[in-house]
Amino acid sequence: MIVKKNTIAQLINVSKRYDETSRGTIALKNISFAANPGEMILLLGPSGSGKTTFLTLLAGMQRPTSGEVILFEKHLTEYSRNELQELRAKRIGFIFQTFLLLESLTVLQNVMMVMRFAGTEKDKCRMTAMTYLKQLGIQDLSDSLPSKISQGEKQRVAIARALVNGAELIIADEPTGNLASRQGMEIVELLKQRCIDENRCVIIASHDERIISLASKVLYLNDGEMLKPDRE
Amino acid sequence: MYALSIIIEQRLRYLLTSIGISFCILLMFLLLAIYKGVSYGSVEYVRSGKADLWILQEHATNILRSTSLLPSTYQEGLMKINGVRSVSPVLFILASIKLRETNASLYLTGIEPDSGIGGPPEIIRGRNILSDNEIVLDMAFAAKYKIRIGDKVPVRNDSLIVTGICTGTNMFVIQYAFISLKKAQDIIGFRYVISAYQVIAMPGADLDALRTEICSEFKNIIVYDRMTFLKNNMQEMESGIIPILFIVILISAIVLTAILSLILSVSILEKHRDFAVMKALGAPNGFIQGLVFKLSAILSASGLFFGLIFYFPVVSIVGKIAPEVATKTSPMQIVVISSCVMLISALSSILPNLNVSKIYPLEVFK
Repeated sequence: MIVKKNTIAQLINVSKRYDETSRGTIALKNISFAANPGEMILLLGPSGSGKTTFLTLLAGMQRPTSGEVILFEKHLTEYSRNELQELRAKRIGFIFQTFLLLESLTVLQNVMMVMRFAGTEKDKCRMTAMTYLKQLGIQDLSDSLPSKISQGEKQRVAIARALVNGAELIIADEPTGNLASRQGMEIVELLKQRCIDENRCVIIASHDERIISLASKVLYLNDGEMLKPDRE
Repeated sequence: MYALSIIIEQRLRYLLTSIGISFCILLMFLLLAIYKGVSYGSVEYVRSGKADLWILQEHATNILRSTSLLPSTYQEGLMKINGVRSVSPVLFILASIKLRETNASLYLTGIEPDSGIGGPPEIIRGRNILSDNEIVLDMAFAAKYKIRIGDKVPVRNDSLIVTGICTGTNMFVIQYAFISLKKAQDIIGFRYVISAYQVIAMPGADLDALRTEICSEFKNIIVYDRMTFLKNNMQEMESGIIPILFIVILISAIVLTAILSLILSVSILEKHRDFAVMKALGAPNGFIQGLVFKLSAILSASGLFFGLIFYFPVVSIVGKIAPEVATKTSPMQIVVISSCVMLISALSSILPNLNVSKIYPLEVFK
């Protein structure tokens, strides 16, 4: 197997079958793919096409039934449980469709918490988190609870949370799904800007075909199979 | 910060939980205080006595739950032994008396009024007995039956005048009362019988030698030094009360653990999604386990706080409703219970932590 240099994530002939019997559901079939720094990759496909499975494999949250997953130039099987936890804390950022902010914590605390997971010192956490909130234009909401802010603002908090640890890989699952169309596009543009400026890799799983114009690579998934890339 | 935020978010529920926990802690405090109170009341008589040696009938080990009968004629012979300064006989009788249409029990202790030795540990009101028609009562007994100094208490066919109220004499199930030895002997109908002799030695006397000499001079007796006799009485008291209190304290601790485990498990169930998110975002295992422990510790600490706030008024109310329920509180008891509660808090977080370990980060994508 060839491990490409400077590649953030690589899937080589990956298949994933749930209920690993011959009759089990096949979520992904023989997928090969590579994600590089500075790329914004759009993963398109209908519901049940295997997009979420694709993302969870990239996040190291589950292992493939066959094939190889390489994250940051190391095989997924070589990572221990603690190393995977550390990887998710320091090098992978997540943006979820329903934002999944912790409702008991303020906006600032939500962002600071992931920094604590990465082992950042408490004093530095506050300063850095505030810087990110400011960059995303939501510094005034730092003491607000998630229940008191709009959907668009929540998504910005989620983006700040994903970026704050300097993650090289940002995984976004339907990031525009719960937003008005204009808001959704603004969010994707914001992500693209961060991806170019900071040489990060953003992988977006979405139904939203308007994002195609912003993506540097578009992948189509259908019934677990990857159709020929539209643009590469 | 997250543990505190969860609690602040649902403050009413956690306030009610803390109050529930505080009742368990209150029960533990109260039982320990009762144990201490009974312990004090049961053995203070021996502990505070001036006797260097106690002489009892052979095989008797204590004055709480063993019978000792000796002839009162030994007193003269004992006085003749070298190194003996004084010999005071004492007679213990379990007596039932009729007070305000109810039967009351007293641990009547007959002493020689002249010497006063073997009398109450501490008289808080009035004075000790001086004659055969007087009696000194325990404070709790007097409070329970609303008896004051100068009142008359019927004992058999006599009425004894209350001259003093004492403390350190409440054994919870029964209280000491002090009368003259002659009156005590009249009550049982045997003029020359006593229960024990309290011997005070000359200053500098060798107590071991004195004990050996007494044993060789008199038949069918046993002689204890003060510490051994105190220890015997303590053991007797503890063997009766500790198993009962221990079981009740154990039940309280189990209830407390169950409440804490239950409320933490409910919290985890409600915050299931948050825990999955934290795991997905790379929360170290120790962080989440620490979070559950912090929740448990905060609830226990607030329960402890409320328990302490409620404790003193409750003790005061208990003292008014049931004066015979002797309680005694010391800072050490608070330290002991607080340590136990914190230990319970750690134990209570084990089961919820097992539940947390079953939450998978993958769940956030569902």
